[in-house]
Order: sequence, then structure tokens, then C-alpha cells
Amino acid sequence: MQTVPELRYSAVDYAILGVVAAVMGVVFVVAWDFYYLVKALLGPIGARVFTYGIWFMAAPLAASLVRKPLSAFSGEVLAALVETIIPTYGGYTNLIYGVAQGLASELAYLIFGYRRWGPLQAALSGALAGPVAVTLDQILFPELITAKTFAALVLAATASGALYGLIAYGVSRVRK
Amino acid sequence: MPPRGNWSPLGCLATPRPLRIPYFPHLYYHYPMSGVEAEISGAGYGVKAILHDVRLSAKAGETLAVVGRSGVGKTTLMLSVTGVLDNLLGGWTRGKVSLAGLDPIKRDFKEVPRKIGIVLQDPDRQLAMPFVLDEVAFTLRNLGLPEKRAWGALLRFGLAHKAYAEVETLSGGEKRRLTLAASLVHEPEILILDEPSASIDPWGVGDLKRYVQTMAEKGLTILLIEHKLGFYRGVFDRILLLEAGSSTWAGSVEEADPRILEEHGVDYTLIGRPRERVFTGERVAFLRDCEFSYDGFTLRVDELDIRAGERIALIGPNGGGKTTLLKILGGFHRCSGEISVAGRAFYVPQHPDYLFVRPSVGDEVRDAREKGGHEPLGLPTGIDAGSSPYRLSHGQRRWLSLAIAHAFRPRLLLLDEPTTGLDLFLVEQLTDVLWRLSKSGLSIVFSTHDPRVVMSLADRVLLVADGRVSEIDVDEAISMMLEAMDIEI
Amino acid sequence: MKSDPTTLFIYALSVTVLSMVSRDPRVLLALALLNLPLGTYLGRKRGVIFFLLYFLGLFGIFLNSVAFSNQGTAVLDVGPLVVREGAVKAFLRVFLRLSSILGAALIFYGLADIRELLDALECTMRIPRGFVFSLAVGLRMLALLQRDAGEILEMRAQRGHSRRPLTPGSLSSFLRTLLSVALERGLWIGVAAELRGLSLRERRPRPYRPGLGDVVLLVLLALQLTITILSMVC
Repeated sequence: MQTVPELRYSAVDYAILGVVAAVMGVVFVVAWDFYYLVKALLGPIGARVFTYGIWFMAAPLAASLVRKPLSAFSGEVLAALVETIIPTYGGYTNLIYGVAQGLASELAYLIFGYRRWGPLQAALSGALAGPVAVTLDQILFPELITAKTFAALVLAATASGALYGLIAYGVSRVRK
Repeated sequence: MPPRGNWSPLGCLATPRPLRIPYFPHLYYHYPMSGVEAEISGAGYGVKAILHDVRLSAKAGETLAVVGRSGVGKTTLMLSVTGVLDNLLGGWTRGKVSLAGLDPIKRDFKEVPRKIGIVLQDPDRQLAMPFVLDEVAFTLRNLGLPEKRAWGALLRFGLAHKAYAEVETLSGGEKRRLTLAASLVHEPEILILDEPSASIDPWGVGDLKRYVQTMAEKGLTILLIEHKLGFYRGVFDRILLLEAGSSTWAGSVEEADPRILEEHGVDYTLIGRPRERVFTGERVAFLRDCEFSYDGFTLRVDELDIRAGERIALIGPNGGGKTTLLKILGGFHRCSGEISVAGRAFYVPQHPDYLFVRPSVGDEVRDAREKGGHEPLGLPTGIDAGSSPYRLSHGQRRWLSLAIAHAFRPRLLLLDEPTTGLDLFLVEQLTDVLWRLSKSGLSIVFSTHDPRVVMSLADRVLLVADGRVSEIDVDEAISMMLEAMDIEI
Repeated sequence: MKSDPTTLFIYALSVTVLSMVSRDPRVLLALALLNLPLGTYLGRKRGVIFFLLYFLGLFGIFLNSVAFSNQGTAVLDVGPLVVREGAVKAFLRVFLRLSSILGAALIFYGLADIRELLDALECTMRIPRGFVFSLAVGLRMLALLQRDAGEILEMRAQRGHSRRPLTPGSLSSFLRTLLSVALERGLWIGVAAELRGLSLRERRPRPYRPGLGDVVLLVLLALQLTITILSMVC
């Protein structure tokens, strides 16, 4: 895996990014009623704690499949765009979160010089999206997130992001 | 410049078949050599060679069928001659290829789309756009051609009334026609078809053949990759036989020896081997006045009895309700009326992949044993227990899905198009296993588009069309399917 | 009234940003009153259940408000539960904010045609062609994969596994199957797209020409922007 990063995307790469966006859209639909049940019982904060990592999976999944610079970012933004278009309750916040989380997740691959696309990078990629998502939550729900809960949420989101990043990596190996 | 006559994008509509004037007159003058020539001494991925020695030649206007059993490298050959193997998939090709006067492997890969049209096995693995019109316009916009032409192609393939529909709302046959429209709209010189009949019903096969025939008459060079050659009798000029990565025989259709072709897994005669009937009197399942509706479609079964050891074929057009009937019997859909199944029913979907839950074949077998309570069917040698089930060949996946089903010891086995994508040998193996299982008292209900499978396996045939189910005679069913496919035996 | 998808995109994104940064309850009320009724009307084809679930979610927001912002004078006292002023205010603010965000998304959903949106993304908003292709494939695959997902879940149940893949283990198992099927399709869709000339594709730029529908939306947006800025300045 010590090859010089290839920059140009082929039609197959673009198609696979589309696949990642659609797969994440479907995961969301499958977990849909569960998510809203949790949201009704535990509120938006509770629902987020339970599902945090799932929202960060698109980036590590895309990057593990399309091993090229900006694949993590593109995967996350595309998944967010699909959710925005469907639309889901979050509407355009999906897109805003997607862009911000995608940039954070991309860092995990950037700091390794786009030469490594393994489980460590995938976990890191998921984890890095955590603090960003909670910061955006703090802007969206300032009334519901106090300084104390903020720290706890960052911790939860980061850990959950790392776990689901690993899952994304494992799943991406399905045809290997 | 040659005279263009009254050619226009819509000209094909105004002029009924057969056309006396060549359809693409201008093309002949610009590109006198527009066939396919390939001398490949090796092709594959990394250190693994899949093709070893292939000589392929189709002159301009010729129709060539590349035949051979599954896994001999037919698809790799298609990828190699179009330059995809080298330029897109990171593989390699040694040798010379000329495609419509281009060098697809090195210099001219980018120009290939202007010269060829491509139709792949499964429309769902080809159609990229969410809407019908856009799928056709996609080709045109890519090549910088006027997008208005899309309408002509849609009209020609009977899809104009669905131009703004979502692709996912089309039937299997309509999706197939859409891939044809999108592949021919830019008037290519060469049409490449990779097992185009694998996913469509006999009526769709008939349509497809007529379209291909028309294209051939109009002077298109056509390359067909197929193992069910029998479906296309009368359409093709020449045959190229592939065997383990090398071309071993080439010649005209008249010269071909059907016996030799069948020895190499190529379906030519389309005659199945009828097996003895083994069913007993004991009733395993029955349906009475059963009705099930979804999305405005209703399936109605007045009366159906299934006896132990019986093998029942469901035939009929796509979207007619075959899968729905199987799923009702499998207990996935609840219908009004009476339904009873003695013991367990197990449904094996058309894509065997849907059934897999574990990361390795060994784990799959263990899981099936644990959850099903019985020993699964033995797997053929050559399947590595550590391999991911998703990495197996299509035939092996089909086998694994049956093995899993067997671990649940159903009384009623429900198979949704179990032979799609399988070559002659694999179909033989599969029908043998199913026959053995039915001898032990298992009742099997399967849907199929293949008259040969009906011939070799069915005790009874149910025609499921337009939400209605009626029992028909086995011979009658076979001749109905052959007629739909426009095949005479 | 017809609006360019570009306008709708800008409108929905801007309203969402405004709702996210506004803290003034009066501004939030104005945004919600403008966007939610209009969005509900235009997005009614989204189905009744969608809206019912949204209102069910309000209960959760209320619970969170009580849990995190229950300060000030008591408004309601029911045995062990004391709802204070802070909780009510927090609830209202979050509710109004989420409502205008949802309203804006529904206005976009109700008025934007997906075909035109893809075209606008490529030709007017100048998003790279490959990225727009990815989005088109994603939308095409979404319909296909929803069917696959249903089938996979039925097969899981038949094999004695959970129908709701929510634990990390069952999610992996479900995703492996779904992704395997989807990747095979994606690979061939990519090959076919390349053989149909995707890399020859050139952008046909189309200048942005707002019509009446666009002007109306832009005026509405300007109004909301003014309200928000005024509330911040004053």
C-alpha cells in the first residue's frame, strides 16, 4: 500500500462514491423508526448519543473503497446530499454537517500522506468527525447542551465514531 | 460525401423494416474498416492471466457470438478489447487489438465510446441515471451530441411514454430496452452485448432478438457474449468458442457442431433431460381463494395444492406475480383466504447474496447448522471455507444458498429463478441435486424463464401472468416459451 | 410558479444557516411562521407519517429541555416533575428552529425537480461533473438498494437473525450483504459509464437567469436575512 497517491478519479470511483451515498441513505431508512423512537423517548441529544457513529461512517467507508485524496470528504458530502434531497427532518443541516464532518474525516488520511487506508485511519476518520458534529450540535441546540454535557458528548461521539469507522473498514473488505 | 438521403434522428420511425438503404450510410465512408480484430497472447490482473491465446475477428457488418462456459474469460475478453481492462480496472493485455480502427488499449481508449455501444448482463448494473430520459441523454451529452436525439431512441424502443418516469418503476424488459436505447442513440459502429438475455423473460428475449436482428441488417458489427447460444439461432453469422482463456474454434454457424458446443457448456439445442416423476399423494401445502395486493397490483390464487416430492414450475412475464406467489408460500406476504404449509418453507432469492449473513463460507455453514438444526448440503470441492461468500463465483454462491436452505430441512423449497447466469453444466448439476432432493419427498416450487429447466424438472407448470395463476400442460408451457423467444425446434 | 433549483438550493441553505445562528425567539418565530406552513403545503406528498413522526419527536425535545435547561420560576408542577420557565423557553426555541429548517427543506423538496437539480448542479452551480455523476448514481441506487434492503432483512429473519440490524455486529452483517450487491453494480455502472463517454463529457455552462418564481423566493430570503441582522444589531 506504499504507492504514490493517484489523483484522478475514474468513472468506477465516482460510481462507487455514489454507491456509498446510497448505502448510507438506506442504513438511515432501515434505522429510521428506531431513531425516531429513541428521539421521542430520549430527545435529540439521546438519539444522537445512540447513533452518533453511524452518521460518520460514509467518510471512512468511501475512503477505504476509493483510496484517493478527497474520497472521504466526497463520500460524506454525497451521503449528506442524498439525505438532504430525500429529505429527512434535518433538511439542509445534513449538508452543513456533512461538509464539516467530511473535512474532519479527510484529515485522518491527509496526515498519513494519502498512503495508508487501513483500519487505524478509518477509526481515526470516524473519531475526528465526532468533535465537529458535537460542536455543530452546540450551535443547533445551544439550549440543550451545557458545558458539562458538551465534554461528555464529545467523548461519546469520538468513541462511537472510532467504532463505526472500524466497522466501515471491515465492511469495505467484503469483496477482498 | 455520400448522399444522406432523408436521414434524420427520427428517420428510423418513419421507415418500416426491412430497410433497403443502409441505416448508417455516412459511417461506411468515413470508416471503411470498422470491425474488431484482436490477437491477444495474454490478459488478466496482476500476476494472474485469465486469457492466454485469443484470436478474434469480426469484420464490419459481421455478427460474432463469443461462446463458452462460465469462467472461461468471456467477460475479460470483452473488457480487454474495449480497453477497460487496461485503462480502468488496472489489468493488463498483451497483444494487438483494433476496435473500429482504434487502438483501445493504449492510444485511443477515450475515443472508444464514440464507436461502440455496450449492453451488459443486468440492466441494474448498467443504468446510472434516476430517470429514463436522462439515461439516454447521458450518452449524448457525454459525446457532445444534441440531446433531442434521445426522443428518437426512446420512441424506437417503445419507451417514449415513460421518458420522465423513474428508472426503478420500469419492468425488467423495459429496463433492457432502455439499455439498448442508451447504447444505440449515438449510432455506434459496433454493438457489444454481454449475456443480454440473462435477466429477461422469454417475451423480452424475443424482443431483444428482433432488435439485434434489425441492427445486424442495418450493418452494425455485433459482438455477443453468451452461453445460451440456442436463444440466438438465426441471428448470428459466426461463432468463436473460448475454452480456459483461449479461443479453440471459430467458424460460421453452419459449420459448428452442436455436439461439440454442448460439450463445452454452450447451450445450443435447448433440449432438457426429463427426469422421472416422484411425487406421492401426501399434501404438503394448499392455497384457497388467496388474494394479496400491494402498490395497486393484486395476485389471486383460486386453488393450489402441492404434494410431497412435486416439482412445480412458475412461468410467465416479469412482473406477473411469480415472486409474489413464492413469497406468499414462504410466509413473507400474508394473503386473505386459506393458506396452509405442513412443516417449514424456505425461500431462496434470485440473488443468492441476499441470503448470506456471515463473513466466511465456513461461518455460513456453521450458522446454518446452528439456526437450521440440521446438517447443510455438502459443498462441491474447490470452495475454500475461509473465503468470503461474496467472493465465490455465481454458480458457487447458488450452491451455497441451497446448502443453507437444506440445513433448515424444509418440506417446501421455493426457488426464485435458480438457473439465471448458470451455464449448461451448472444447470445440469443443479437440476440433478433438486431431483435428488425431491426424491426424498421435498416439494419444490421454482420460477423460471428457461424452457429447458421446465423440460428437465417440472411435474406441473403454473402460468402466472397479470396477477392470475392458471395451470397449464408442461409441453404447452415449453412451446409457449419457445414461441415467445421466437425459437423453432 | 416555477423556480430554478439553484435558487431553491440557495434559499433552503440560507434559511437553515439563519435558523442555526439566530438566538432571538422573535426571529425564530418569524422564520418558522414563514417556512413551516409553506413547506408543509408544498411538501405534503412526503406523506402523513413523516409529519406525525416529526410531532412525536417534539416530545423528546421537551424532555431534553426539561433535563438540560430547567431553570427559573416554576411554570408547571406535577408531583415529581417541575417544569420551569427555562425549559419552556428552550423547548420553544429549539422547536421553532427545527421547524424553519424542516420547512425550508420541504419547500426545496416540493418545488425542485430532481432531474433539473442534477442539471443545475452541473451547469449552473458548476459542481464537477464526476461529483454530479456520483450523486445521480447515488439517487438511482437508493431506489434499488431500498428494495435490496427489504429483501435482505426478510432473508435474515428467515435464517433466524434479527430483522433490525442495530447492534454493531448485525449492522456489519447487513451492510456486508448490501454493500456487496451494491459494489458489484457500482463497478459495472462505472465501466458502462466510461464506455459511454463520461470522461469526454464537457460542461455546457448555463448562466443563471432568475424568473418570477426565483425573484419571489429571493425577496422572501432577503426579508428573513434583514430580520435576523436587525435582531442582532438592535
